[in-house]
Amino acid sequence: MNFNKLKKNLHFLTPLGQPVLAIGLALIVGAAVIIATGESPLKIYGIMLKGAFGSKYYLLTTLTRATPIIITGLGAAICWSSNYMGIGGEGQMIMGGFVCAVACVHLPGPLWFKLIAGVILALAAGGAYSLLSAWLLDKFKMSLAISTLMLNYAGAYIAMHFVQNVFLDKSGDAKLVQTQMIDEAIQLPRILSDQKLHWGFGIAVLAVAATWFLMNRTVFGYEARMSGYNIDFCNYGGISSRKIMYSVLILSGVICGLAGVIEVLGVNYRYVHNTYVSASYAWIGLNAALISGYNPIGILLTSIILAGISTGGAAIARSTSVPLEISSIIQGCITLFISARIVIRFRRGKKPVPAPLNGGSAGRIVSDPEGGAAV
Amino acid sequence: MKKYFGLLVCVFIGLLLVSGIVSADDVQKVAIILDPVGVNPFLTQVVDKFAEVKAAGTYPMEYSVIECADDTAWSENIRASVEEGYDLILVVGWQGADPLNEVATQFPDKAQYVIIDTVCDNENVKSYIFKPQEAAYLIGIIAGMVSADAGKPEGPFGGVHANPGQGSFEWRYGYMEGIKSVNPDVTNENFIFNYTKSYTDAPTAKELALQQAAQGCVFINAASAVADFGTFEAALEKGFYTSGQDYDRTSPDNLNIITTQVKYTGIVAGMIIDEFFSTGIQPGVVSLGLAEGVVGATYITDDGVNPRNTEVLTDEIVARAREAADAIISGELVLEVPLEEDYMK
Repeated sequence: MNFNKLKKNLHFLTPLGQPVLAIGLALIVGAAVIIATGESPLKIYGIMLKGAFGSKYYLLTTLTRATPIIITGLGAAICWSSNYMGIGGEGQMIMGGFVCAVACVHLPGPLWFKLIAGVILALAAGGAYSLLSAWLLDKFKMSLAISTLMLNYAGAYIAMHFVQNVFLDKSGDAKLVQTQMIDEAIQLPRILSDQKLHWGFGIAVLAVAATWFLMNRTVFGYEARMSGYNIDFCNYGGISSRKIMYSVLILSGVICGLAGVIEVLGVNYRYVHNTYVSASYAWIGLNAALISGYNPIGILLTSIILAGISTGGAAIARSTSVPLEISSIIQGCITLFISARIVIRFRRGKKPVPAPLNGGSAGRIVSDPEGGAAV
Repeated sequence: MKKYFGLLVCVFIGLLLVSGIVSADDVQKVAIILDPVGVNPFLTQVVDKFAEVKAAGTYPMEYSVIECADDTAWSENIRASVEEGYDLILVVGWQGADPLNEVATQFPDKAQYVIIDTVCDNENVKSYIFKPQEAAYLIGIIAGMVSADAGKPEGPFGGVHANPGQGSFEWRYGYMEGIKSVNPDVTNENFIFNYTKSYTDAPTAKELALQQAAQGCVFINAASAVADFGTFEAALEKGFYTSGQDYDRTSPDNLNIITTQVKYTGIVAGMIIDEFFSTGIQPGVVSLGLAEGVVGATYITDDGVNPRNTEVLTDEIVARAREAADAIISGELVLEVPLEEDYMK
């Protein structure tokens, strides 16, 4: 087999090249930090690997942590691949989780009704919260990045206010700002009874498949991707970019709201203030979307790797003197190296165009005037 | 010769194995699961106590300090500690209550479980909680009298705390009751409370304290852990008086910190270690206050590490606060924390 043929056969792996390079470089930087603490990088990475994937327990813990990351990653991918750089996943997730927890406890009626209504209301809340940013962009040309970022803070404090003053669980010493626990009958069941992994992970995998289908096999997906490639071409072709903008942002909000729903129904069984913020699920999800070039299957795999870095990082802290922050450094470096790729291309005078969600051409570049991006 | 050498090697290896087994049986593994420790005295006292006991060799013990990077990590670390064979799992912080409850229910015999600073409603867990309202009451007496001496008996009285809500109301309740005991004319409207929403945000604490000082507060109660440094700095700049938290924060460089609401978590850690190695952990709830010497106020219940600022914290104030402390210890004065929404009506 000659080299060209081999290259052609392995062409489908091309999109993985840069993410692997970024992760590799981040691990090298992490190794330098580990050496500075006086430990062996190989030993520490060994512990990290074991702590992330080394046994059934560790693997399932990693998958549990990966679940909200996958879902928020999909939400981010949908709007970013259409060139709408929304970073409001965190606020939308908070809205979804908060509304779901409150509805599942306080709505009148039988449990099945509370569950169904709670999920529908929560998804609507996530979508509506994202719709607000879309409206601000449409009516006032407000920067989407800024409005979504600010609404993250607003969302966290709105939920905190209502939990603390209206829906606070006062059954114990009321020290945590949290709602009452939802009924056991409407909690998501565990996949294995003695492990934390719940069927929310299955829902996340289904969401991956659904997102891939939506973006690659439907008219809406085609229009959204066209909008991402070149908004002027899109308008010229008779596609309403305004409609696309509203649609992708609402859909993105609904998906991020789903992440909050899953956390309430499958993990905490209530809304606990600051949980989603402190774990940075939405930001790591965005990271996963960027690394994987908005490819849903790539997001699934990358989310598991990033979750593994977090759970593996905790394993390091449990068994060595290396500080807990090592996993944060590695994650930060991955983001940095992925961002570097985007910046380098930007400086070359070409605009990086998001890959279609089938992942076949991550990182493709087309010449395009700068004015189109709605950031 | 080879035969004897081989025998010697076998004996040596055997001894090693036996000693390994013995030590593995004797040495107890303790997991201390908590927020990132940093310089938070609430946590450093616990960690220091374990280091002290281990260094003294009192008990055959190994311990790991497991810091939780985020709220989700509490659940993961508590469960992982069971998986990794720790004998005692000590959770320091209310964030761990729910996950500990779940793990202790699921694995009642795999480890012994203790939580500090909240109640975990589980028959396999021992919970240690505090009565900070008792110490805060003493701080309130000091604040009320210092403010009166400065010509402002009705305040306003300040407070820069970490978080609003019922969870931290015991600090405010004790402080307010202490002030009201000095001057019954003081009402809830005479208090100004602001919140850093963080245990480490000293700049925000400073800004809040400066604003309270501008509104005329003579005394500002600092209760936001490490962020208290901001309130202390503001006190030095603006001249109001303040109190620290957790361990004696008075300083010869800042005479405006006139006392501290102490909470000796190190004593609790010592209690836990002793119980674990003597009888094993006995599940239940233990509430610790002035009577147990776990909470208190510097110069009132404890000697300070620095000389008292007698110009401000006068003998009269100390005597009045000590009288109240005795009443609390004897049970004559009981401070039950009500719901904040009821109290603040």
